Amino acid sequence: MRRRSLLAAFAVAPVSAVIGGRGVLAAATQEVPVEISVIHATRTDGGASMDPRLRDLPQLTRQQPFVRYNVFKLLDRTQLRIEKGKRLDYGILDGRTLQVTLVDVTEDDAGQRQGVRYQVRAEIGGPGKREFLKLLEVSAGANEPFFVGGQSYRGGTLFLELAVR
Amino acid sequence: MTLSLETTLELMALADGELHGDARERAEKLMAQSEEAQRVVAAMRSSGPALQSWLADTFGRQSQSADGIADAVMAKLAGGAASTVAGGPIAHLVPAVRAPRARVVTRVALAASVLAFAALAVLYIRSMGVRSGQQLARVAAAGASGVAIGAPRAAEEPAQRGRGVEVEEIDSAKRVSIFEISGATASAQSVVVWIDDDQEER
Repeated sequence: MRRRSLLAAFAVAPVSAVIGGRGVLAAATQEVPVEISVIHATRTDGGASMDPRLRDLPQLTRQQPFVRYNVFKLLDRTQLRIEKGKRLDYGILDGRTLQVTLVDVTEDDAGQRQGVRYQVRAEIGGPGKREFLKLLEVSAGANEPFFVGGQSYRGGTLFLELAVR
Repeated sequence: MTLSLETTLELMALADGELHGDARERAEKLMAQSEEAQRVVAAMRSSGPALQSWLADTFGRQSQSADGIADAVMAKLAGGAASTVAGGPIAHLVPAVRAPRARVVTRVALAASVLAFAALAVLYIRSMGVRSGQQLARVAAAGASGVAIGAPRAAEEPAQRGRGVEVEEIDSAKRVSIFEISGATASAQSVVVWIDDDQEER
């Protein structure tokens, strides 16, 4: 009887793990798409303009630090697939390199808001320069972008928008 | 005749036995002193039946005439045409004129009721459509700026809201600012990590 219980427990445990944490397991074992957008922002007297490909940015231009600029142009947008624990390198137009690491994938079960959370690490550095961004770790859900701004580029600045899609 | 009208009336009442109290005493005292008063009372008492007969005849004829007029009017009302009494028309009934006017009034009242109901309906629909109108305006503004218009987003789907972007760790050789922003996604807060490239390195 005791041995049958132990056997049953061992048999059921993997099934329970799969059922209970299937989101985590599925997300952890699959590649996750990470979208990187490079936005060039400048301030001109010639009038404001917004690249139509920047879907969400018009809603942000009244907020700091976007409000400092009135011309926004998408220079590049790419989508990379990344596995947990793996790191991707992305070459930025100003010569620096963005390194993105998917640190962890967890299930957010706080309150009624269930969903997968992605812990993402970003580093920006370049040859001959000290690291622009030594370390940044954020936790975000799918389609929740975050921005890294401040890199000087052609009379303006660069905003890097990162989002797990 | 030297008696006043008031005195004569009192004497007539005395003759009819309808005078009482001080007035009766005054009338009897006058009749005892005045022959003229005695003649008035005697004349009233002696001529009573004849006077009553005359009154009956006179008022009876007037009553019959009045009844005839009433009968003639009622007959013409029932017949719906002009009526004559003693050869002349006395009334013309015009129901055909009043009926259309009543219908017009009814129609006007009905139209006013319909208009009032329609106005209330419009007000109700407009009040219910305020939110939809705001959404349409927001989409139109987005369209004017050249942004792709998509389906309504998580603002109408609170159950799918995330808790937003959370910064867990940050390190840089430059000055770092973190701006919390809303609107990067309709569902959650986001952040801008601002690293001032122009600042001296630490």
